Amino acid sequence: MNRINNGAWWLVAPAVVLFAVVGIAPLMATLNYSFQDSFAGDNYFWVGTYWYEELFKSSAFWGAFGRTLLFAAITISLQFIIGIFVARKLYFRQVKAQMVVALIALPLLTPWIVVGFIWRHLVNPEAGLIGASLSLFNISPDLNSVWWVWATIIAMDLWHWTSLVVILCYAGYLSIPGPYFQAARIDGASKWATFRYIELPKLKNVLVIALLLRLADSLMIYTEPLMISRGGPHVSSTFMSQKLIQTAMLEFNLGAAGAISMFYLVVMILIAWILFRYIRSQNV
Amino acid sequence: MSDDVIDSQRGFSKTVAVYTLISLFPILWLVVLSFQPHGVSASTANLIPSPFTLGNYAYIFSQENYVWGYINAIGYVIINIIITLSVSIPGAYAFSRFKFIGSENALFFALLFRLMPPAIILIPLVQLFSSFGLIDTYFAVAISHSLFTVPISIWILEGFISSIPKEMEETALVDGYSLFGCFVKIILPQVKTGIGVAAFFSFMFSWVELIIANGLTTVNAKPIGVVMRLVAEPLGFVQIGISSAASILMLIPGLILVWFLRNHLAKGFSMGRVG
Repeated sequence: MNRINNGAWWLVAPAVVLFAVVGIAPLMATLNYSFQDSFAGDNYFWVGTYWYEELFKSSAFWGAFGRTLLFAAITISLQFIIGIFVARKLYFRQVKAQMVVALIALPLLTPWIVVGFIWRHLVNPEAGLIGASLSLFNISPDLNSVWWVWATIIAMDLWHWTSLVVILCYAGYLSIPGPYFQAARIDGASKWATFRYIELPKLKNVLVIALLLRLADSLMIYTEPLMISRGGPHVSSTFMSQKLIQTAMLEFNLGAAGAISMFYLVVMILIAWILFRYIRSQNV
Repeated sequence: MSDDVIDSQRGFSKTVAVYTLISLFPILWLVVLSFQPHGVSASTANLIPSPFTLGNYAYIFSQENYVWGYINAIGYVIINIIITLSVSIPGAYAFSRFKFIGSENALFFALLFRLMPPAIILIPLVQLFSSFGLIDTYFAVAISHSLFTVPISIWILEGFISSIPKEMEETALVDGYSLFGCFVKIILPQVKTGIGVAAFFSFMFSWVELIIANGLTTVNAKPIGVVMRLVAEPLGFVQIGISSAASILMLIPGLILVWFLRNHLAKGFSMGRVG
């Protein structure tokens, strides 16, 4: 049944139409905006690469981009280290793992506004669980300080998303056939060797998918940090999505917003393409 | 999968216990906060609500915009799931069973949409739906969200469908079923789990997403997340009691879904490719 059958395109047609109308058309419009300017929001005229030039000269933009990358790098590395560690314990040591999976999935289902809200209150030095506990040791979280804002946002993101990595990796472990572990044990392999030469390679696909999802969600983070610090103090927690929305909705600068959007899109496409190629090469 | 030697070592892992506790404690604390008056919650950290009050919940159920907020969110999430499944199931079936021109790259493009930041297309989406008079409707939010939920659904369903041997359809066809018939009678029952997982992921995105849900709605379709923002914004006054109660109510649909799918979550997360 796997012969070439172009009639199958009819089955994919609804998806194609959906993507074309709701996805590609708006993207084209955004691309269009990025090349235009207007005096009063009504008459648009062509300005070529003006917005892109302005963008690449803008320190506010590079600041937001750099902060987003830094944030993603820190949180994703921590999530994977913790995630794989917990997944291994789940797989090797935990009875009734299915129940645990259901429980730790809860942070993943928490509306983003709730995530931001609860973490903001958690670090309150008088009234928050974490804040009050820290206050007992004379440490007082202060959301007016860049350090605390970043620490809170990172902790919040770890709480929010690490379970995704845990569950994905756990599922990946489930698909490693038992004989692999038995063979390793018979050969007297150390735990680290088993991890490095059996578990990691078999988890490659799952890890890449997890990385792809985490990268995408990390780079587009908006609501949660907004609830913590609104991008402050000053701009120290303003990430790309917030910069973009500010430019588009508050400054009404559709041209600049268009340029930021296109840059954002190219970055995501690049990342996706690299990781996709990697998956392809592994599954030949 | 796991063998007997490993199974006999199973018990309770301290790491897992700690991790589970960490995952749950903010939510448990939210429950505490929701039963405490705002005045107390804003000044002291209590582990047990004191005084205990149902006032926060009473307030929410008495406010039209809160109640409608929940109804609206459930409304567009359900419509999103319907749209997503209708579009993804045939698509996944095609990717799984057939080879056709561009099928390799098509999957990549589909996945790309899941990775796109919603902020990028917010403005054009607003304009698009404006011009059709569809602003502030469940449909607009549902179909915009499906841009993000369809790719993952196709990915998940393709995995589940692929794990059903092709021989099943071939025998069914020989027995005289039409292609559509064998799809409904043979394939569908076996991918029930996959459909549940795909619906779960769609819910997971659509229920929690805020940027598009906020941008495309004004009055009639405003979801609870946006309503809650009014009392939870850090610049304005944060009403902790009400926000906590609203938060707990927002967590309940997720809790219900997780409960129903608790035995299938792990398999679902492996996108149907376990075993």
